Amino acid sequence: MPMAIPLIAAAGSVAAGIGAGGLIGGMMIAGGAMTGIGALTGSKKLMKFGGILSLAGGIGGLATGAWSAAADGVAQQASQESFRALEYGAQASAGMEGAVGGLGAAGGNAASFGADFGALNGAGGGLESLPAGGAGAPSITAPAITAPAGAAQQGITNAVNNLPNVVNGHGTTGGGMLGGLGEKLSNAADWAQKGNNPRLVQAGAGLLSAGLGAYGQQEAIKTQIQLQEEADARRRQRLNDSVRGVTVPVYQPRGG
Amino acid sequence: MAMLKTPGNAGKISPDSIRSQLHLNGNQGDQLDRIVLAGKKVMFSQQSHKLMLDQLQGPGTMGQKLGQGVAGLLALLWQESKNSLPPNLIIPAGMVLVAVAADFLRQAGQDVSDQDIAQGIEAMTTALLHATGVDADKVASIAASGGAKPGARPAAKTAPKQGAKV
Repeated sequence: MPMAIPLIAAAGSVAAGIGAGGLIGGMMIAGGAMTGIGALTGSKKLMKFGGILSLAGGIGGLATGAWSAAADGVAQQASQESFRALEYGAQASAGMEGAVGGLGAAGGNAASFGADFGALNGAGGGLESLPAGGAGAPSITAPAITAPAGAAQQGITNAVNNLPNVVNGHGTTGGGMLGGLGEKLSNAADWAQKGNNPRLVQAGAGLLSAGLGAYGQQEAIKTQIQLQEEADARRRQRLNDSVRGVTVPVYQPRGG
Repeated sequence: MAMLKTPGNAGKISPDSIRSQLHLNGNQGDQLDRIVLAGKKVMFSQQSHKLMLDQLQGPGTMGQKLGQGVAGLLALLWQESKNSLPPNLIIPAGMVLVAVAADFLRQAGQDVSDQDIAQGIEAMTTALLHATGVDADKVASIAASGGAKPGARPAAKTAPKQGAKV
């Protein structure tokens, strides 16, 4: 159980934070490598993944900005299937139904929420097929339907984050996508969650946040290290100078 | 090091070979290196090293364990970095990290084939896509069909063809 909580939190944060379009964009960056590895090893799925590069005009699409547009399009198209599966899962579980009903209620204006939703962007089809205004659905924990778009957006994010807990609470895999994810990642992240590893992860993450912010910070660190080395050299020189020319008396025992 | 060997199972896929095939622009190369470095830091630290080996001895194929392990690692890095990782570099970094882990296992004398690495990359990509609510099979089918499915957004490659025919 202690392992499951941070794992679900990590998975939830990934689901809520990473835009699906961003990941698909990453597949375009890696498309050539995926195709090459797929061809080398005979992995058809990798070759298919790599073929996503061709959707955006190949490598040339990088310069024209076609990659990001195509990535968003693919993400939207592919996420609809996932959410339809989620919808079916909701029918099998009262808890899931409540959560998705909340999405349906809050999602009356889902289409107008903008492009910041990532995977939720593609949920339009699935949400529209739910009863209008969440009719017939149990009461929800999401913010009010009439809340401004920002609050509703937060409500949907919260509801999505709560889905894994709902799934686990009812002991069902009706969530499909999320349940499967937890199962897949539970073993995977186990080793990284034990002992003092959160600190290690933080150390690695600290390296990232320090480095990714601005390239200048790296130069600042280099300069700092150089100054420290110079200070050490001066200190060493002072110590050496202080004993230079000093003769050490030799004491001998009497009668020796 | 005494542990290092030169086994006969050395494959063609290496971290460097994967990185060289990535289409990176601007400062993406530097950013990718930092993500990979952070991942290595966690993967090979003294405290987590044994746990990683235990994980790799668990059930499942070598490729699945590699892929799922790296996916979990990336999820943790994303969380702990306060979402500062560029999303479009997560999968490329994951590919390199799968190869890094496989490279280490090869040097430790274990049999890790190129097929295992490919399977690991596939498992890692699938897990990450599922985490964002995207159906990996759907993405694969869209990519394989060249975006010609109904409802697909007009891609830069298909538009000129249609225009040329008309």
